[in-house]
Order: sequence, then C-alpha cells, then structure tokens
Amino acid sequence: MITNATATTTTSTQFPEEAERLRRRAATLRELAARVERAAVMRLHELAGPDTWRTPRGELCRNLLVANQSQARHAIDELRRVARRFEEHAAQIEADALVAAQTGAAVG
Amino acid sequence: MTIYGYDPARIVLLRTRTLDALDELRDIRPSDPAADPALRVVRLMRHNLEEAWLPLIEAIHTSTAMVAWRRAAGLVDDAVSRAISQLVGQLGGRSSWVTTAGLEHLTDDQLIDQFERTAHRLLDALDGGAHGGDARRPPGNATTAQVQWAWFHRLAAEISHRDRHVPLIAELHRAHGIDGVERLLDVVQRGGELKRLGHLPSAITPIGAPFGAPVAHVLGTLLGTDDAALELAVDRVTRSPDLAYLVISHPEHFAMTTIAALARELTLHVAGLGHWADRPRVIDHTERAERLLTITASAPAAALDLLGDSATLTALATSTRIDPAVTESVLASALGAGSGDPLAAFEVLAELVAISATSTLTAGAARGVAVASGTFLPALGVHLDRRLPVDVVVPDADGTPVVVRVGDYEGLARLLGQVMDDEPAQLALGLSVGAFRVDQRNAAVEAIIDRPGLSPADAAGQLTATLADVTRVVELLVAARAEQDRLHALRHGMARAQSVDVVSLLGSVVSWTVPPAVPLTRQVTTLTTRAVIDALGQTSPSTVPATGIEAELAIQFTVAVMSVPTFDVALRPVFGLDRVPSRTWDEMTALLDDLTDEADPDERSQLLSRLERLVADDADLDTFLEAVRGASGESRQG
Repeated sequence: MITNATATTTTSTQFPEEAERLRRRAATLRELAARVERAAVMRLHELAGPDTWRTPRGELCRNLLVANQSQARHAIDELRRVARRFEEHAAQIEADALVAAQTGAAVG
Repeated sequence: MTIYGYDPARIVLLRTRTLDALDELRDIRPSDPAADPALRVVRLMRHNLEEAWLPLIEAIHTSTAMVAWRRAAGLVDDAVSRAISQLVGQLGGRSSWVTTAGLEHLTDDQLIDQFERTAHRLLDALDGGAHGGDARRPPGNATTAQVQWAWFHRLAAEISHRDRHVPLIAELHRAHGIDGVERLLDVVQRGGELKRLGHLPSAITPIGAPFGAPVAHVLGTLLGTDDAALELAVDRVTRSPDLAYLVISHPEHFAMTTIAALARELTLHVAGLGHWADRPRVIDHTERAERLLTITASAPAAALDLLGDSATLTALATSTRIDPAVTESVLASALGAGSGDPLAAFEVLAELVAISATSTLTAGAARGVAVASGTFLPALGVHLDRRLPVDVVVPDADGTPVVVRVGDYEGLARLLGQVMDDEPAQLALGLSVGAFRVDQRNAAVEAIIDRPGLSPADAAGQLTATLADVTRVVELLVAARAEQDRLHALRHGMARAQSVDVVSLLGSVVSWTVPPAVPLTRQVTTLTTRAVIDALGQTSPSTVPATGIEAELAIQFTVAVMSVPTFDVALRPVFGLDRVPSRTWDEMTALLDDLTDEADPDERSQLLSRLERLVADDADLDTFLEAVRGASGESRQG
C-alpha cells in the first residue's frame, strides 16, 4: 500500500520540490530493492544443502529460509513497482507544471 | 536407513556466511514508509536466522566432534575461522563427513536422560504384550513400541558417536549405574524376542541380530568397565540369544575379557558342566558358543585365561558337542607361545594330564595340544626321567623362576598317548619333535662355534647334551603308545621337519626354559593340523614297515648328528674329523640328501645301512658317531 504517494494540490512553486521528493523516494526504494536482492541471505541456502549437512532440523531451517527468500523477492518486486509509480507521478507533476507555466505565460 | 551428518569445513563456512548475512540484514533500516512491507520481510528473515538457523549451526559448531576438528585444523578464533572459511568457499573445500544421529541440539545430559527414559518407555511398550505370561502376543501398543524402538536406536547412535570424543558412556554409567545396564540388557533380550516374532521392525545384520553397532558400542563399553555389569551379562547370556549375537556381530566393541566370559558360560551350558551340571537346559547355544570361542581363540591371552577355569577346560577337552576345529584353535592358541604366560600354560597342561587320567580327550583337544607341542615339549625335554615326576621351571610374570608339576611320567605319557590316537595330531606332534631336533642341532653348532678351544670329545659332548633332550622326548612318545606300528604319522612328521618347505610352514619355535639352556629360535604360531596335513600329504603307509618306529628314530638321529660336520666344513676340525677324505664327505652329503627326501621306510633303511658302512670305514667318523650315540642314549639300528 502506498501512502502519501498521491498528488495533493500544490502551488506551482512547489511542483519541482514534490517531483524531486518523489524521485528521491523512488531512488531510495530502488536502492533498497537492490540491496535486499544482492544480500548474502538470498544465497545462503546454497551453502545449506546436503553437501553441508543432513539433519532433520537443518532441512527444516533451509526450507524456512527458502520461503523467506520467496517473500523477499515479492517485496523487492513491490518496492520497484512503488518506485515506478513515484517516478511516474513525479513525471506527471512536472508535465502538469510545464503546462501550467505555458498557460500562465500565454495569459500573462 | 537415513544417514545424518555434516561436513565440518562447510559448517564453518556456513556459520561465517550466516553471521555476515545477519550483520547485513541488521544494517537495512529504511525510513520510507513505502518500504515497510519489505522491512517486515527483512525482519522476519533476521528472526528466523537468529532463532532457528544460527542456534542449530552453533550447536553443531560447539559439539565435541567439531571442537576436536577445529582444534586439529588450528581454527582457534573467529578471525582465523573467517579466513579459512573464505578459502573453503572460494575453492569449494570439503572435509571428511561427520556422521551423527541428527541430534546435535541435545546436550550430553539431555541425551543421557532421553536414552534412559526411552529405554523405560520401550520396555513398558514391549512388556505390554507379556501380560498374562504370553510372550507371543504382540506388544500392547505396537505403534508405541515401534516408535520407541526407532528412537532408542537413534539415541544409541548419537551416544556412540559422541563417545569417540568424550567419555559419554562412562557418564551414562555414572548417572544410572547397574540399573541402567540391567535395563539395556532387558531391551536387548525383550526386543530380540519380539523381533523374531515379527512384532518389531529393525535393521538386520548378516546373522539376523536386530541390533546394530551403536547398541553394541554402548553395551560393550559398559560391560568392559564394570565387573558387576559383566556378571549380570554372563547371568543373562543363556536366556538371551540376542546378547550373544550382538557380541558375535560386533566383537570390536567388546573387550576380549567380556567375550571370553560369555564364551565360558555358554560352553559350560552346552557341555552341561560346572554350575550347569544339574540344571535344566532348554536353548541350544552350541553355535553361539562356538562363535564366541573362535573369537576368543584369536587372542591367546584370553584363550589361556578361559582355560584357567577347570570346568571350562574339561568341557572343551571332553565334550563332543563342540566343533573339534573350534576346540583345537582355543587350545592351540592358549598353549602356544603367543599367550605370553608359560606358567599359566603349563598349569593348563597339568590339568589336561589329570583330565586324561579319567576321561577321553576329543579329537579337537588332541589336535590343539599337538599343534602347541612345539612350544612346551622342548621345555619338558630336560626334565623327563621315568623315575621322577615331571617338574618344569618357567618364569612367572616378574621373570622369577617357578616350578610347575605337570604330572608324573606315566600321566604325561598317557596324555600324549591319547593325543596320538588322533592321526592328524600325531603328525603335528612328529613335526614338533622333528623341528625341536633341528633346533637343538643348530643350537649345538652355535655353542660349539662360540667356544673355539673345544676338544673333539668336548664338542661331541656338547652335541650329545643338546640332542639328549630330544631323545628323552622321543622316548616319552614311544612309551606313550604300546602299538608302535600305529606311529607312522609321528615318524613321517619327524622326518619331514627338516624339509625346506616344512621349515617355512613351521615359522619358528620358541620354548619356555629357565634358565635358557638351549635358546630355541623358532615358534609354531598359526599352525593347524589341517595345514600340516595339507603340507605333508598322506601320512599312513599302506603296509606296516618291518623296521618299526625305533629304527626310524635311529635313522633320524644319525641324520641329525652326521649333518653337523657334513654341511659345516669349519666344524670338522672341532670334532677331530679334518682327516676324513673329501670324497667321503661328498658321498655322505649325497646319502644325507637322499635320506631327507626319501619317504619309503625300506629305502630309508637301506640308505642308512650305506651311510653306516661309510662311517664304519673311517675310524674318525666311527669314533665320533659312536661317542655321540653312546652318550645320548640313541641306539644303532638293531
């Protein structure tokens, strides 16, 4: 669920800041997604196979980790999806600002 | 059966990477609310690594097996561990697999406690089927019994595994004492009974016993450290065939004293002797007794200790229920030089002399005594006198000379007479005596060479003295059998003892003599009558030779004496034989070679006649041979 992502009414002077903020948030989310994706925990299961140990509890732990990794990949996809929406929203704000500026210039 | 275990090097690597992964996850702390879902997943992963993953790794990492492995690998701290684990990770390193029962998470105390409680529960479940006295009914709760049975074996496997590194079984014994041993014996007994009735699953060993090495390891260690526990097992073995099977299947886990004690009990049961003389016996333990006896025979000291019990010795010497080959191996092992205790061995021999006075020895006993005779006959030789009891002097454990009365002359002759009733035993006895003679001759030669200033008469006297011991033994054997025409095997064995192939068969002979008047250098070790027969072939000629045993013994004596100067040129001057022409020595050499190879008694008699004519034609040779014969008591062929 995305909070604070929908555009609120802003003045023309706030448009660049809002878009910039959204773009920063998108970058943060993308960076977080990449960080989780390359985290060592996402490959830890490779070291916990039958070559390393064969015990019932070890197998249980490995299965649990694999389930967590799947959840993490879903979360990574969601982070990127939210980041894309932020970026799209930022682009929309910037486009609206440009139109508003052009309309204002024509009127003035 | 599932094999559990781990690779220590990869466990070290896994631990290092897990700690690194946790550090990395702890650093992920985004502040953007949009990241909350992802942050919840990260926290969940952290929680599972910290609460489930890492404790298991740490339990293995700090286990006794891993501590020993890390100490051996020089991994003394985490910094070194990380460096080495990186290498393992990069190079794909591995170490030897450590097997476990998958119970690393249990502490030692927890493991011991669970083992005892599971034994209780298993017995409760097993005994549920014995209510009302009908042991054939399945357990009251078969499912519970099966589950407890499997769990019991898992726990035993883990205890066995850990005991390699820490004395965990000793700790088990300290915690639960003789009651714990009794409970374990109950499990072996009850579980085995119900396994055979098909009510319990289990791994099957090659001979059908339902228990594996871990249970054998635990029980074997307990019985080997507590005399009371061993007594309990000895008391149980006749009621619990599976106890004997467990030992037979995994003898490496039981002390030889344990195996011998169980073998003794089953032997007495089979023979109906000792405390089993007046007791009813239902189960036939013959096969188990024989297998335990065979294992005991592989350790001469244990075999000798087994025979130290009079009832057991009587059982083996006289009971026809025990396989003769098994009896032979036990006696040969105990009475041979390998047992390292000549005092105890001669005491067993004395007991056999007493037994032979009232009972008939089995073929196995006869052959065992015969095979070991190469060890004890040389020690007896110097003490043999028809007029006196046979007392031998042997060293005790401290090396102090001790006198052992083997028996009177007639008693010893009676024993050896019974031995010679068995033809393979007679052949082996002949081989021992022949080897004794060869050794005495060689020892005499060495003694003569060591004293360069000996006169010919003194040199002949030295030869005579050493051969006289052999003569006394031969006289004893001849006296032991009135029917000398039944001693072909003895003659054949003695004649063959000098053959090169037989020398390699015999190996070496050692005698227990104190003081070492005649240091013998060969020892009969793994000789069996079967090996002797295979090597020497047919021992019974189809006709009775006209010459008889005494003539044959005369031939062998002459060959032994004349071979000394014939084959050692340096000794000829010592015996005053340096003037004998070389052509005479050449002819003597050919005759002695022919006598060594010739088996036919009549041919041998003719060859001896030619040899004696050759000797008689030379004054020095004649003087030499007569002097040695006269002093040693060996007579010329009549």
